[in-house]
Amino acid sequence: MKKNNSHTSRNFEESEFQAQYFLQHADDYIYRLNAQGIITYCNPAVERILKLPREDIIGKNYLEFVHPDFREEIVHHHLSQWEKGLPSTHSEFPVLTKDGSDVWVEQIVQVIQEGNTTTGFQAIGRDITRRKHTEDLLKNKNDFLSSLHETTLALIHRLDTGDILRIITDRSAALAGTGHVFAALIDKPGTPPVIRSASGIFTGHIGKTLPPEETVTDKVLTEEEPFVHTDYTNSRTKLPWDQCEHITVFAEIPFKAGPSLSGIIGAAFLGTEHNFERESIQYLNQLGQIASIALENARLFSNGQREIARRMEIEQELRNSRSNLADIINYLPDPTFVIDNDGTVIAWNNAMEDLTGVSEKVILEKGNHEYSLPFYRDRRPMLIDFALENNTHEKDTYGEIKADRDTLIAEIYIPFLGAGGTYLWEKAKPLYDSYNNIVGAIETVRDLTDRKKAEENLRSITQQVIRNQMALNSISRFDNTDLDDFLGKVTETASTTLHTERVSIWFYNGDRSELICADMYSAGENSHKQGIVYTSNQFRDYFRAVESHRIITAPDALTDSRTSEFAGPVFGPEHISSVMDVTIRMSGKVVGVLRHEHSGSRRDWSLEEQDFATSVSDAIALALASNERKAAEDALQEQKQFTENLIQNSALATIVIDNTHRVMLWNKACEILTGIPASEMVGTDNQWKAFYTAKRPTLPDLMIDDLTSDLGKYYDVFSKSVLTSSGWHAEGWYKNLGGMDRYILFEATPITNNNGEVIAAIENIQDITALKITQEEVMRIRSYLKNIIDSMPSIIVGVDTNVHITHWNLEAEKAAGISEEHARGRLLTELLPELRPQLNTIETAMRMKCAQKVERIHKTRDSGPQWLDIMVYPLIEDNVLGAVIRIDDVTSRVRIEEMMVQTEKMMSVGGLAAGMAHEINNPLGGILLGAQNIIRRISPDIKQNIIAAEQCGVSIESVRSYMESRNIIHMIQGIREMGERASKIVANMLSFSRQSGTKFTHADLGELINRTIDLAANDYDLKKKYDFRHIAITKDFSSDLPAVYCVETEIQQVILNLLKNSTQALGESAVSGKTPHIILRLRKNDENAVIEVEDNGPGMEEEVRKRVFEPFYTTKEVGTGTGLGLSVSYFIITNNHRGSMEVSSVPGTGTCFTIYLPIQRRNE
Amino acid sequence: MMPPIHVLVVDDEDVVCSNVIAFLEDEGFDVVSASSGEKALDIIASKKFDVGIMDMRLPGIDGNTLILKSHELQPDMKFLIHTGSTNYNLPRALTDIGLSENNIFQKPLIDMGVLVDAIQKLVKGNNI
Repeated sequence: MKKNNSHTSRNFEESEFQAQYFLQHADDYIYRLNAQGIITYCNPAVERILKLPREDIIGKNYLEFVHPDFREEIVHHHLSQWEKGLPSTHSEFPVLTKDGSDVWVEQIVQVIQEGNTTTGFQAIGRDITRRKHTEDLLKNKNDFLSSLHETTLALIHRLDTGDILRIITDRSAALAGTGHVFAALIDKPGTPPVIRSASGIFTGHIGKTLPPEETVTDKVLTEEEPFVHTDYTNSRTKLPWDQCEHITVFAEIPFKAGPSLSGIIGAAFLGTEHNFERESIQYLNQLGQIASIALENARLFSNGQREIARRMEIEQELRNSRSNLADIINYLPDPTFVIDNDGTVIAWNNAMEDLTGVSEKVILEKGNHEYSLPFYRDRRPMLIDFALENNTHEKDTYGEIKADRDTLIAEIYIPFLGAGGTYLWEKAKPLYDSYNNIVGAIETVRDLTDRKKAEENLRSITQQVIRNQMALNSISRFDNTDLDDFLGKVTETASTTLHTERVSIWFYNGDRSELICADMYSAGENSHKQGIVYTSNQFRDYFRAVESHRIITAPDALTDSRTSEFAGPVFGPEHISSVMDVTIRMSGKVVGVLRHEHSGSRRDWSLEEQDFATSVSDAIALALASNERKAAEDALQEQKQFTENLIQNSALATIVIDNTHRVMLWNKACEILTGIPASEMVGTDNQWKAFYTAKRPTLPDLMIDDLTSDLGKYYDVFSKSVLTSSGWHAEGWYKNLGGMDRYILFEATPITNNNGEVIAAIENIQDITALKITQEEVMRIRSYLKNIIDSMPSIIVGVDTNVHITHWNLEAEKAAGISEEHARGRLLTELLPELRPQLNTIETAMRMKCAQKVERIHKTRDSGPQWLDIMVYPLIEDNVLGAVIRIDDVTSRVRIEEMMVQTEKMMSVGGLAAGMAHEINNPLGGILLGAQNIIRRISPDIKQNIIAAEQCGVSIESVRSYMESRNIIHMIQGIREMGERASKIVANMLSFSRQSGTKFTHADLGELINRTIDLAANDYDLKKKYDFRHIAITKDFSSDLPAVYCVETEIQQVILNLLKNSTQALGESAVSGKTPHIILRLRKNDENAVIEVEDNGPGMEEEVRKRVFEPFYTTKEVGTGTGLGLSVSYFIITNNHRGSMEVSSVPGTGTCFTIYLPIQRRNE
Repeated sequence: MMPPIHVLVVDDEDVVCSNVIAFLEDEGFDVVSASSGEKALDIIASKKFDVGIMDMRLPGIDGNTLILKSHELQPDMKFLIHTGSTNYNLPRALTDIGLSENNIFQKPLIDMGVLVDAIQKLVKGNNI
């Protein structure tokens, strides 16, 4: 019924608008108070009067705007109104305006009631400042008139100029309201006035001549008219006298006794004293005229020419002054008249003429309550008579007369005045002379009719609007689930609200040929009827009218063509006279009629009533619509409920927000997950609070606004949903969510309506903390293992059962030059073809579920031979999943092992040699010594040989000849050579045993090498094989090499041995045509001296190279070498000097021996 | 003509001994031989020698003792050591009486001429 309410209120607003229009444009001010006296409404007139904007008025206590002196009175006034239950009261008081100016208002205050409760007040009033002012003035004038009268009488009998002047100044002072006055006389026409009498500041200036050039005097003398200078402070020229500089306002009134000016009355105000009353000027003027006559009389009297005629003239002046009073009264805005003591009308102003239509001329000078005739068509006392008589007892014509001392106020309805009578407000007051005798009375009346009407109109509108609004409110509150019940309540309420005899609701049948009564309420019987049928045949004109009118108002229903068809059977029994029909429309189509039937006299249906009826009709239409929708809604609701239940009870935390970001649904799982109950969330846009500390959009919010491009601003991990076409997925850690840190996965999807507009978004929230932790742990372990595997020096390759690569570590990447990501999934033998022969081993390991090892697989590389150890570990978990292959390069280990074997051999040779040497050397010595002696003893050069031969009977020459012929000498020579060779073998073998006699010294290796080269050049054996001088020797010695700690002879022996080997090798390859070349290098490398001996000889095959340091290994033809040279060298370097020695060789290119000698003694 | 130089050759190996004697006699030296240290000392006690050529490994007293004792008997006598031992070290006592590495000749000698040179140097009072 929300819509209905708004419609109802709209109708109310329309009524309100009409009231508002009236209020806004009223000349009278109108305001409303609540029961506490706070202003709840004010119209523009109030703003004008208070000179305040409405916002400074509304909400204030009305007393704040009442003059403080009058507050108590006003409060008392209203309290008494409340207590006595007076519907309306009248009051007058000054208000406080913004600029502080005195503004008087009079107002009528009404009580606003709803039911029996007073809810506030409504005041209507107007600005009466001017009237108040006039009244005050009148009061003053009254005083003045008395004064004038008396003055005239006084003056007329005065013949002494001094007396006259004194009276003039006294009276002037009284009339002008200031103590600073003077009277100046012009003795001769054309001469300036001279002050003859004065009071206040002018007292000291008697006898002085008024300066004619002074602004005011100049003007008055020139124009012969009174002049008031209100801004005398800034006057061009001023009175030059003492104290006159304080004058702020200065007035001069000229007076004449004949054709020319006879004098001037002056009046001055000092400081901030009040300004002149404009009217005072006239009285001063009047005073001046009387004064001039009196003065003239006095002059004539003093001249002995006093004439009675002048006195008559003075009496005429007095009448003039009365006429002058009438003039003043004429200007009063309110109708006013004055009577004298005899009840004779002496003043009747223009406003009074307008009000009564009776002219002044007709009524002036008439008595005997002539003035009551226009009001009452009858001679009777009026308020003015009570004021005159000071009698308030005979006031039966007046409901209530209020008396404020001698002033009487009353309100009265005058039926004969104006069309339809007139409400009059009357105020009357007696007039006094200076002796306080009542000389007459004055009455002011005001036509209150318009105000009263406005007041009643306002009250009526207000009440109507309030009543209608209350009725509509109650209708909108009716439960419309049961339509029949609802319609019954509506008719009854409408009937009561509009004071209508019968209210009924009618609906068309299917073909719109009938109107069937859904409910009819009769107030008289207080009963409901249903089911009456009006057919279109029967009420043709009416049916037509209904189609074309929104509302049919027929004050004269019996004659109105639209409703006259109902006269008789329908209207007759109930004396229906007026009808108001409002069509009930749905979607612009008339579906029925709401009928109001008034019985008795003719009734005009007011706009408010029409509005009300229209609103009721709309309420009915809404109820119908809602009733029609109800079934559909019920089904929809059921569907919605089912869906909601589904989501509510889903184990998956789910929220739904609408397209204004408000939470529509926050299911139980979500409550548990977030720890926030749905009651705190549903209907709010606080969904962020569950996850974040500051407001920001959540995933569904971004769905609603289609801001998926902003996802990166809010989520570290997000992606398009794989589950829904338009949804998104985001995840992350959330601190202290539902009591713990959780890893949350969001999945949000926009929900669209049939037009493709996003109307909501749904979000599923999953706590995958456990999964995430496991995942992260797995990642951590995986990364940890990978680091371990990568940091291992072995090639580690994982393969599956089909020998496809699953793991591939850093070493494997290095060895194969292929990264892991490229290796993964490929066949092992494709990347490491050298493992092809090992496939069997891998297969065996997986089949046997037992690790397999293959050691020292030889492989040739460009950089030399390589040895590999291969381990295959099967991966077993229930079944064989694959294998891990570990490949270690053991080349250097193999090399070291080789060297150790070498050294071992030599050490054993050394030990053997030491034991053998002595035993061999002795017989060998015998052989060699014998051989030498044999050669010597056949020599013809030795004398003993010749002697011994001769003793034997032969010549030594014969012996030699014989031995040579038999080749004996050669054989002996052979013995000798063989002996020598054996001796050398023993000597070399002895080198393997540590000789204690060898001396370590610091040697200059460069010099040592040079000496060795010389030695080689002279070597007998070398010469035999090859002329050393034909070999190019290159020396490349580094200069920074310090002396090296070594046994010089041994190092020399080693180098010599190497030179011999190279020379021999070069000799063998002499045919190849290359220039034989030996390069000797000497340099420093860290702690070592490095000696290299390189040749460009034939080089060695690997098999040879491997064995060159083995004792007794030789490639030389038998008998050429001992096979110990390199072994001894190796032993000297490695064992004796703790250095190292190696050889590299490329067949066909050359060989290079490299020796590393520690420069300093090395601790063992 | 110069008086002959008297040389004592001590070696238990007869072949060695006789060959050294043969060579030295051919070179004009007066050579006497002994097959052991004891025998050599007996000879030294009765005859003056300029140079003794001593084997080290001898039956009975060894070569070092022989040299020392010979020196005691004939302080002017010089010595050459002719040994087949490869690990012979000259004892301090012998260096003290003027022997050095240069007095040592390793068997087998390929040319006995070196002995002749050494004897002549020693006799002349020179170091070898």
